[in-house]
Amino acid sequence: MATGGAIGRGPAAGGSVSPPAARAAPRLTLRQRESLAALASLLPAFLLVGVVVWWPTAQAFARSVTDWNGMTARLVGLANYRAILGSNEFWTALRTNVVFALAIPGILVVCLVVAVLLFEQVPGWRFFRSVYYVPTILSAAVVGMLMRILFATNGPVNNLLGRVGLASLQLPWLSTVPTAFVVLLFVFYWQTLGQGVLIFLAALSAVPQDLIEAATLEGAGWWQRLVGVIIPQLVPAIAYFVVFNLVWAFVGLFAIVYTVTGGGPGYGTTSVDLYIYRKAFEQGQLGYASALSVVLFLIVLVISAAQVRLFDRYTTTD
Amino acid sequence: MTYPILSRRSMLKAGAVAGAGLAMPHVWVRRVAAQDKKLVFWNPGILPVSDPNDKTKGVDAFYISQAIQRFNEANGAEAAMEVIPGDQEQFAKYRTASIAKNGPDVMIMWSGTYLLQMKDFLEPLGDHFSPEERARITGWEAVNPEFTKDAKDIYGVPAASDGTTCVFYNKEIFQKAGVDPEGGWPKNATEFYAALDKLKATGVTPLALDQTGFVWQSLAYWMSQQINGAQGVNELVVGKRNFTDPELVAAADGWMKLAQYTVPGAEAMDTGQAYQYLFQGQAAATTAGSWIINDGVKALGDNFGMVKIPDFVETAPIVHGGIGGPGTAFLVSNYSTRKDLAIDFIKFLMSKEEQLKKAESGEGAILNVTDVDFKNYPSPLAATQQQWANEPSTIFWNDNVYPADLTTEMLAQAQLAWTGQLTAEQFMQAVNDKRDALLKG
Repeated sequence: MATGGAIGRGPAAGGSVSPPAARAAPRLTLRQRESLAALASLLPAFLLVGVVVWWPTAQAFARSVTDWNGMTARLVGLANYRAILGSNEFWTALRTNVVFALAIPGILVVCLVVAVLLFEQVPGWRFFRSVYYVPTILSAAVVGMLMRILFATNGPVNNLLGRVGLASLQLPWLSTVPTAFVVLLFVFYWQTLGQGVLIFLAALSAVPQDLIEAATLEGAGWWQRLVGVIIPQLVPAIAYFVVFNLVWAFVGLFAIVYTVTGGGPGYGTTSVDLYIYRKAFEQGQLGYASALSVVLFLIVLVISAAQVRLFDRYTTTD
Repeated sequence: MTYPILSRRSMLKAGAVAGAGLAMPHVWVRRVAAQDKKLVFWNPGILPVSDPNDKTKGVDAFYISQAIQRFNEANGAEAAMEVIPGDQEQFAKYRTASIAKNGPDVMIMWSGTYLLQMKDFLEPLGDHFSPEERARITGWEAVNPEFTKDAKDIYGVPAASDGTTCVFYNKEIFQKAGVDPEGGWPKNATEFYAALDKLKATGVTPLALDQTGFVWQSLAYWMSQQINGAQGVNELVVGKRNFTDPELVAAADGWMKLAQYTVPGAEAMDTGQAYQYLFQGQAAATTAGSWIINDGVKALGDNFGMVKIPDFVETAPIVHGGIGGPGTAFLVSNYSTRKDLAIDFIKFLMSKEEQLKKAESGEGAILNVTDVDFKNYPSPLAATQQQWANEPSTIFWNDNVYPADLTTEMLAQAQLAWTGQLTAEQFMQAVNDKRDALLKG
């Protein structure tokens, strides 16, 4: 023990008494040492996050009030923000993100239903369990290119529709805004299904079986058990899924939109993150793009905070 | 004074340390010297490095790889090419790399405003080229902000000419349809539609157009020819002329009618994909510049023909022309530590000997030098392109003159107009509004 050693070297052991100034620094308590160790352990992570996340974020805030082209910057105050809020292109881009956000309840229901069916081991569940996650592990760029080819006007989807006698459904999928959104949302659902099912399967396995059995004994049918017993138990998982995908709907669309539609036709499916990319790197307006990033950051911050608070109301038990 | 007695081991250690110390400066000097000879060259696919008709052909089989090899051997250099994404991605990549100052020493890029928007990262090259060197290269107007031939402030070296964009077609299909491009080629849009109707009647789609060519080749020509070419385009940019002028709206309207003769989805079709429709006999024609000739001849042989895009109206100030010119240029990054070697590299590639070899390879765009004979091209089509490119009726690329924002707007609105979601008036009004907004700053 360290304390024993200290006692052994003290005056009682025949050592000389040191003057107060020359005495060793006061020893730290166990709590202080633990705090120091914890801080030292966390420091590399803090430094990393600081350098990789907070420094660029602070830079974006600072650059957002400048006219910056990557080389030279000129202070312009809030001009970039005024230009953004007065720009049709920004609101059109935001509409794309909102469409994706509004599509989240749909994929939530699909994921829930599929997860419950897998959990209840319906016929074919073994096969489906082995393939449902595949779209999630594919790169968004790969999926995007695939869909661009599949849904080209002369592509396989339209050819197939023609061959099975559904020529009336042959559409210029990527050439009009509504059909382009159909393709984009199809990609979104296809890629999100695996993630959602995985989350809900994990949550389902944590639902107490005796609760379900008790409900069954009480005469509750499948639907009643699902709505009255299982779904209330899944609220934390649902909250996580919704918050995660809502944030994604605002900051994660770039790869899909860029590869499938390129933001077109016109600006019809351009998302805010793609708009930022175009302004920054294709047109060299990095100050304006920084201001767009700040606006997007604030939008996501407000929505996420509101949602977390809302779900807290349903999940916190006093 | 006593001296320590060194053991044999200590002696050896001391000797090794001293030897290493003496060798260090040499190693450092050699390393610096080697660094000085290293050169990074970015090619966004402008100089061909793949063959759509022969996927087994390696990068080393192409002219540019062999030219780099020759440069390295002649100069003891270590120039290396990195192939980067083309189209708009080339600008994103160069800009981001340049902000971080880890971009290339030399790059080939689209010229005009595409290049000039990077001005802050570019080495001014005016002092590095003598009047004699400049005189044998054409297209200097594409690398300076005034768009004039003799400007001193140049930020690149025109790398080649795209020739004159025109209609490339399958002779057999045209013959079957009774369309004679040599003798009875349409003089205006109305006659052009009639020829396209004849082609359509054979069961083959008359045209396959791609997502950039459908705007910057046919529409741009029909618009520019009516406003006296480059002069009128400049007037559009500075606001002396409007996109909503009746002749431009009429040109847009006429261009929109081409959609019914085209493989559907042109507004989202990759360039290579559009060409494949022609090469595989699924479309009768496409529009392109001289860069398509090599692949076209390989795919269709003697059946590969070339004719100018018909005029919109035969009374326009410029007729029997097309869009084209020096669409690409070499640049040197101003943060490069090997600028002299980079300039030597460009001069080497533009030398008479190298240009001759490039012509003989038949690859890519045609030459923009005055001292190499047209007859060195393997295809007579390239020689004709060279001739066309020098004619005053060849109008410089509109998108290389428009500001980047206006180019983006034109493409975005063209997608909607082409698919019938905007009228010609709405299309031109939207572009005009954008131009006005840009002028207001």
